[in-house]
Amino acid sequence: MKNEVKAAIAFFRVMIEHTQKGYEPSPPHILKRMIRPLCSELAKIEQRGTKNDAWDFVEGLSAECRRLR
Amino acid sequence: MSRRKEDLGSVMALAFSEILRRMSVEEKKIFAQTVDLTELEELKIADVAADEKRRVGDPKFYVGTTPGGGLSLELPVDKVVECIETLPAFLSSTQIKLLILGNGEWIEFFCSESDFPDILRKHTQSIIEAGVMIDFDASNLVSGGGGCISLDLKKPSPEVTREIAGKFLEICGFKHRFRKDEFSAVVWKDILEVTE
Repeated sequence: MKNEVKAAIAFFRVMIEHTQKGYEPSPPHILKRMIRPLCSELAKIEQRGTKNDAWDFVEGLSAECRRLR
Repeated sequence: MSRRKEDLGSVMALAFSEILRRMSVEEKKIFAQTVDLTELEELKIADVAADEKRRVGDPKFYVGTTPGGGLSLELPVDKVVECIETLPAFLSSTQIKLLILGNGEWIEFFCSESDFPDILRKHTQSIIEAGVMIDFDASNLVSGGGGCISLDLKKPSPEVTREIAGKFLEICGFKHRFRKDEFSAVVWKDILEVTE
């Protein structure tokens, strides 16, 4: 798996984890530490990724969603 | 028995609010003159106070177990490298792969446990400001900087998970021995609050 795909999935995981905490993280924290890093990795996948990378990304997100159940 | 009483109470409250809704303005005026609204006002104030107790913002320290088996962490930035340095000892990995974010791109490093601290210290600024991903065999750490870390432990042993959390807490100046498989610890205004 390419580094940007792996990183994008990991930042999605970090976002999920922030919904499980017993407090409400600040919006700037979510933006700076999760959303912006995720956007940056998505831009790399969009620019130089293959269809396989896109599929790996979707599969990775689904795997993270399954862990929530 | 008490459960039935609670259910009945909630039905009565709903029915009463529906009756109020259907009253004409004149009927509501008469109602307002016949009841003491002080208690209702006090209940409203109590609700606002409960709302104010909600924890909002970013704590000085947080560690908590995650649904998939791992730890979610918020560390003070000056303790990030010191904490990460201790991980190979817990995860007993033979080879470590680091990906450090520099100018928007991931730079790869492979190292042994002994070289690990040197690489971390050499790239401290990037790690705490930009981001890092580290593979310890099957386990993986990711951070988007600022001490916000997710540690995904692929074969999580509850004992190791508790030990890592305890060690990080200790490095950050607090002490607690976690006992359960699921837990969290948060520091607000220098006070440690533990939930197990």
